[in-house]
Amino acid sequence: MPFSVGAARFAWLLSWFLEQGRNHLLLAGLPILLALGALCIGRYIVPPDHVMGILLGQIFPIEPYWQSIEETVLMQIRLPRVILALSIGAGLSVSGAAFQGMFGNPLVSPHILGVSSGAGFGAALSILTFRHLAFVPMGALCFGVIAIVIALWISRHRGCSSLFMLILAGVITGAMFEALLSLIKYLADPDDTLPTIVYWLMGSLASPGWHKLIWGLPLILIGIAVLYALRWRLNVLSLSDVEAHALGVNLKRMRWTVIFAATLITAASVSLAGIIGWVGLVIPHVARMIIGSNHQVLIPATISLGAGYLLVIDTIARTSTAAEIPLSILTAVIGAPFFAWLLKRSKGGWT
Amino acid sequence: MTLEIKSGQCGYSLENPIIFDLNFRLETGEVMAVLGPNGCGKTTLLNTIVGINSWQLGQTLVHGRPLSDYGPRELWQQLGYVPQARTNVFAYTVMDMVLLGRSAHLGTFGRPGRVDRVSARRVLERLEIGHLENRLCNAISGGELQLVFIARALLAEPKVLFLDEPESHLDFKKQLIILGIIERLAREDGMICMLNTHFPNHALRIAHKVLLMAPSGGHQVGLVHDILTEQAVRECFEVDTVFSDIAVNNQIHRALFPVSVATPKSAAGAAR
Repeated sequence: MPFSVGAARFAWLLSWFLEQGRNHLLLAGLPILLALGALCIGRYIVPPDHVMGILLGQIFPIEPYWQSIEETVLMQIRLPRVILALSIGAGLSVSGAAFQGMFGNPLVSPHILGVSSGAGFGAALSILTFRHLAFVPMGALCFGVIAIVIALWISRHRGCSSLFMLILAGVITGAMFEALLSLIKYLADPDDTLPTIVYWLMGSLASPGWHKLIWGLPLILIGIAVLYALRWRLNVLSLSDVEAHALGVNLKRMRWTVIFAATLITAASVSLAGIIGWVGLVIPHVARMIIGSNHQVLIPATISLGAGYLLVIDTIARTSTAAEIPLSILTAVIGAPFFAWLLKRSKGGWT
Repeated sequence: MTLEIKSGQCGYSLENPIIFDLNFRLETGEVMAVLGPNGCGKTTLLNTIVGINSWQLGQTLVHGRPLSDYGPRELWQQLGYVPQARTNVFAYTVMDMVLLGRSAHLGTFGRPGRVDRVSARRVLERLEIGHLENRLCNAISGGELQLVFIARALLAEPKVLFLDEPESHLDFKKQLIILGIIERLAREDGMICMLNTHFPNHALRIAHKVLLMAPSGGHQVGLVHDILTEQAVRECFEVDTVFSDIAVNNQIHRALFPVSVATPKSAAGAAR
C-alpha cells in the first residue's frame, strides 16, 4: 500500500514536472549549459571534460589531467568574462522587465531614465581627464547616479512624482548627458582618446579580470535579487495608481525600490562593460511570449533568458573574428531579425 | 463595522469644492448609492473617502477610527475597491488578476500560495465566473472583467466595499447580475457597500441610503425613499421624471421613468 501511494505520488510529481516544470527546468538549465559551452570555445579550445575537471578542481582535490595553460585561460580569462556576461545580461533584462511593468509601457528599457547616458558621459570624462581606463568604472557609476538624481528632481512636483513626469525627466536628463558626451568626443584627441571613448561606449566584456568584477558584480547581483524578491508585487505595480493603492501597496516606497534596484544594475553594467543596448528592451518581450505576463514567473524567465542571450552574443563577439566585435552592434544585428521573426510569428499577440 | 464621514469637504480647489459638509454613517449590511450627473465628482469623492485623495476638511472613520490611524495594509484588509473596468497593458490571466487581491494580506516579498488559490477559486465560483479562470483579462467581455475586479476586491475579505460605477456600461443582464451580487454581499456577508451609479432605478432597487450630488456642489443624503423624489431628481439631473409602482408576482417595484429634459416650463408643468 505505501508503495502504491509513493508510486502514485511519484507519477503525479513526474507529470507535474513534464507539464509545469518543463519550462522552469529548461529556463534554469539554459544559462548553465550555455556557460559550460562558452567556457570550452575560444581561440584556445578547452575540451568539455577538462572544463569540468578544472571547475571541480577548484573545490575538490582532483589530480590534474589537463594542461596548466588550460586552467589559466579558463580561470583568469574566460570564467570572469562568462560570469560578467551572465550577470549583465540578466541584470539589464530584469531591470527592463521591471521598468516595463512599473511604467505599464512595453516600450521602456532600462536606459529610459537617463542612467546610461549619465554613466556613458562619466566614463568618457574619466578617459579624457585621466587618459586611462582604470578610473572609468568609478566615473561611470558616479554620473549614472547623478543622472537619476537629476531626473528624479526634475520630475518632483509638490513632493510626489508621476510616472509620466519621470519618463519625460529621464528623456531630458538623457538628452543633456548625450550632448555633453558629444562635447567630450569633440574635445578628445582624435588619434588617442577619441577612439578609446568610442570603442568603450559600444560595449565590450573583454578582459574583465577578477579585480574589476569584485566591486561591480555585487551591485548588479543586489539589484537582481531585489527585483526577484519583488517579482509578484510588480504585478500590482503595473496596475493604475488607484488600483495599486487600493490593494494596500505603499506605492511610493515600492517605486523607489524598483528605481533604486534598476539604477544600481544599469549604472554598474555600464561602468563594467559600456552601453549595451537592446537586451533590456527585447528580452522581457521574448520571455513574455514564452511564459506570459505574470511577473512572478516572468522575472525568473527574464533573468535566465537575458543571461543566456548576452552570453551567446559575447561568445560570438570574441570568437567569430580576430578582432572583437563591439557588443551593441551584435545585440542588435542578431537580436533585431530574431525579434522580428518572433513578432511575425506571434502576430504581436503576447501583451 | 461602521463607515462614517464627518463634515467632509473635498475637491481640487478650496473655492469650488465638489462637496462640502458631508455627514453620514453606514452600519453593517447597508448599501449606499451615490447618484449624480456626469462630471459632478462621484469618483473623486469615492477616492477621497477611501484615502487615495485627501479631504480638504473633515475625515473618514472606519469602525470609529480615522483613516490615518491605519497602515495601508491594515486599512485595505478592511476596505475593498472596485475601479471602473479597464484593461491593462499586460495580459494577466483572470486567476493572476484575482490573486492580486491578496496583496494587503501578504508581506512585501510574499506571494500567494495554494490556500489563496483555493479562496480565489471559491470567489470566482460564487460570482459564477469560475470557467474564466485561465482566460486572459483582455480577451473577456467588459461585464466579465467587472466581475473579475469584484472578485479581486473580495479576495481581501473586506468589510466595506466601494464600487465605482460597476454597472454603467453593461447590458441589462450583466447589470442585474452585478446589482444582485452587491445585494447579496450586503445581506449575506453584512458588507457595507457604497456604489457610484448613474441610474436612480438601481439605487431604488438595492440601496438603503442614497447620496444625491448636484453639479452645484450641494448634496442630499439619507434614506432612499426620503431623498429620491421627482423634485430632487429634477434639480440634480435636470430631467423630469415620474415615479411608478410596478407589481410583479405580488411584489411592488418602485421605478422612476424619465419623461424629458427639464426646462423651466416643464418644471412648472411637473409640479402640477
